[in-house]
Amino acid sequence: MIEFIHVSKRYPGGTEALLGINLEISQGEMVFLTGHSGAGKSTLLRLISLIERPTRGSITVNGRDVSKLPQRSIPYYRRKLGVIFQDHRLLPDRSIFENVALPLQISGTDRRIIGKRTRAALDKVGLLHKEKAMPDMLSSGQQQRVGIARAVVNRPAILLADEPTGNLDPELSEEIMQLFVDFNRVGVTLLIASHDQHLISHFGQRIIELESGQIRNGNIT
Amino acid sequence: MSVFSPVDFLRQHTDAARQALRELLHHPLTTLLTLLAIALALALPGMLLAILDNVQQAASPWEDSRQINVFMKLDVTDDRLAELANEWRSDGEIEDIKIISKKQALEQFKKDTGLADTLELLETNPLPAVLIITPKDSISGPESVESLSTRLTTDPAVDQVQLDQEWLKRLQSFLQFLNTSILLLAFLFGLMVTLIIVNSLRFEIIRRQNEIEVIKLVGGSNEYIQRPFLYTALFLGLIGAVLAVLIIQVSFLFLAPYLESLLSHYNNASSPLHLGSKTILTIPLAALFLSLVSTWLSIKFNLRQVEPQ
Repeated sequence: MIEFIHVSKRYPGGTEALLGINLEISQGEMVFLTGHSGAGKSTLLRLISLIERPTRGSITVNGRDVSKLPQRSIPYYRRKLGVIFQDHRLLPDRSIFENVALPLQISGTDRRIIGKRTRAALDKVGLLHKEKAMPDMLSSGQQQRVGIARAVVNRPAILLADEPTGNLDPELSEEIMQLFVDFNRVGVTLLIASHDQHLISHFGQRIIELESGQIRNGNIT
Repeated sequence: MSVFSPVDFLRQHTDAARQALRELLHHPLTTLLTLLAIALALALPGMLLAILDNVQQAASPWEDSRQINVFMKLDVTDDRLAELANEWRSDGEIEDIKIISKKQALEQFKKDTGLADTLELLETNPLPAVLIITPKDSISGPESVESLSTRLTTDPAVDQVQLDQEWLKRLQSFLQFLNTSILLLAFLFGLMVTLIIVNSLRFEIIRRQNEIEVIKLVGGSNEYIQRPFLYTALFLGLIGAVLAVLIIQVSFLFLAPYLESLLSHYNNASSPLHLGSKTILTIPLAALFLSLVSTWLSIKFNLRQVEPQ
């Protein structure tokens, strides 16, 4: 489903964020990406969502080499991915419903379908009753769940999450991870970056450890 | 990816327009000041163009004037004048002759100037008799009218021949000069409107940077992101144009009496100062064009630079 072949990323200024990464993630897998901060976790995810381009190597997603995807095709490619951020990146001046509906609205979905799918996504993360609230009225755990609802509302086959529990206490983190496990059960491929070794070891899933831009161990389970 | 559907297209545009309107109303004072700046920058050249238009219209009755004024020598008697007129009436190039005798000329002058009492003091009439000659339509073009006038000059009774066309040419070239100056001025003010709108959009882009990044991250195309900015520019430009037309109308209410009294000196009962349909159409069309140019500039130099970090 996702394949990295000899991928390197060097930032202007000479920092090597990733060095010769070879990686394969199959359909329906749930994979954790771990390592210290600065090890390259975020860069790896940003290469998949094409926020950045690799300096060398190729990245294949769904059988398609996306490292050379033309700029104007990126929006359509991103609509097939769900992306979750540490700071959830909700729009503060839009309601919870509008935030979750955003990806559907962007892709020009019919209004009735938007309503149905948005509520289904909110229901899945247990926040249907908050649809009219504004983001700053919610706790950070709830805000992150809204971010997850927005990521899954388009029913993507792949979910990418960058430190989704970075700002949460252990109990809330566990809840969020449990949500990911549920998505994985219905066939979604997940790649989750987290530095919290203790938390991710609970789930018995594949763990890829990055160190200084290289894979140290790709098969801890 | 998706098939084009007019319904979707329309909805995307109404959504973008509504969003643009909401953003503008969200900062009413900023919006108002921007609108006024645009309106004034459009109103100034618009008003000058409208005034020029009015002057040109007022001058238009004279435009076809091909009259030749033949001033007689002072010692030409009324009898000689009538004789000459009769002689010329049979000329193949002359359509009509109007006779203004010395006496008539004096009466007219008294009437026009109100200097009747002063003129009484003069012992002799200082004004010459005049024959106003209308050439036949069959002779056309300035050259043939000129050759006719040259021929008339040769008569010993004639003192001087004056063509209406000569001062008309002078008037025309003056109006042409004014017109070009005003167009140049309009161009400079157009640049100013563009800068105002570009600056306003730039402010909006900076303010909404986070939102634009998020939209890009969840798959918003450039078109989707650009659309609200296009509508912001259109609203600013077109509402500014309406305000500009209002500003000109109100200014003309003040100016109208002055122009009317000016025109009355030229025996010209032209319609009062008005905003011609030309100006009423030109201002919004110019605003529309400038809005589109501004959007294009903003997209190229400001919006494209916003990429998710």
